[in-house]
Amino acid sequence: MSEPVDTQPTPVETATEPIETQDPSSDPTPAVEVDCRGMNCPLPILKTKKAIGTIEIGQILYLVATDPGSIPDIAAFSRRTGHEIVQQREGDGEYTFWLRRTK
Amino acid sequence: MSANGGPTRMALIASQGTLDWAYPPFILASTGAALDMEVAVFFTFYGLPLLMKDLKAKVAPHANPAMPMKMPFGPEGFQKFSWPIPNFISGVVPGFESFATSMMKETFEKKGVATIEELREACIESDVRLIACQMTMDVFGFDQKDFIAAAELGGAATFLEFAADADITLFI
Repeated sequence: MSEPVDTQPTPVETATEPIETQDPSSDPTPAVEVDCRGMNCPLPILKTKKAIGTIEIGQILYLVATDPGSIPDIAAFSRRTGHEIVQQREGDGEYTFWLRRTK
Repeated sequence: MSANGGPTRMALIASQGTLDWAYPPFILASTGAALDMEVAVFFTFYGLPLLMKDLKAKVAPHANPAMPMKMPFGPEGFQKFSWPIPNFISGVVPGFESFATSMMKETFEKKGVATIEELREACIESDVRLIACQMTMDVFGFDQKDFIAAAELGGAATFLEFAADADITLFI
């Protein structure tokens, strides 16, 4: 018998945890809005990537999607590209994200 | 970051030319580029026609028992039903392939999936290298003028030079 192997995945550290808030009055003001409602993988990622290139560093992109896969996918996009998810919300079959362009 | 110090690099080989098999390389390539990866796709054998100006990719349900045959219209239960169409029908009924192709295209559109043309365009916009296999072009008698301008002619060495430093390499 070999030694038991610890199969727990190493937790991935994110720069900052996105804030989940239901209070729309504190929403950051976006410089660009991307509507991906009704779109499927990988369109929300492709549209987000294209749109984030049109705003200045530090500005906010607002994304609304209906694809449940956009939750893990936007998180992966954020980790790979460094653009930060500053806020996200879920409800009525819609997933909304506020992303800050960081570079 | 890649092992070679540059951006993460992905090298794909697209060897299949049916509509269903056209999706994986174009989805992965366009998404990889969106994730700041450096991407090249080598289109060889039956994958080569995916770089033609006029995309004619079809699905081939015949001898593809895993393909669900579903209708893109009607009530939800009807749409979810998978039609048991035996091979002796899908193989001999004239136009069955065109029928299945238009069904798949309609279903994909309704589900908000991008078309192959859109994904290919996204690849071109994000500087994905689209390498067209020169040998396949000669063997199958294709004419370079029928291919998109973004297609770069090359052979195995052109692809392997890029793939040698790749972090991800997939044969599709």
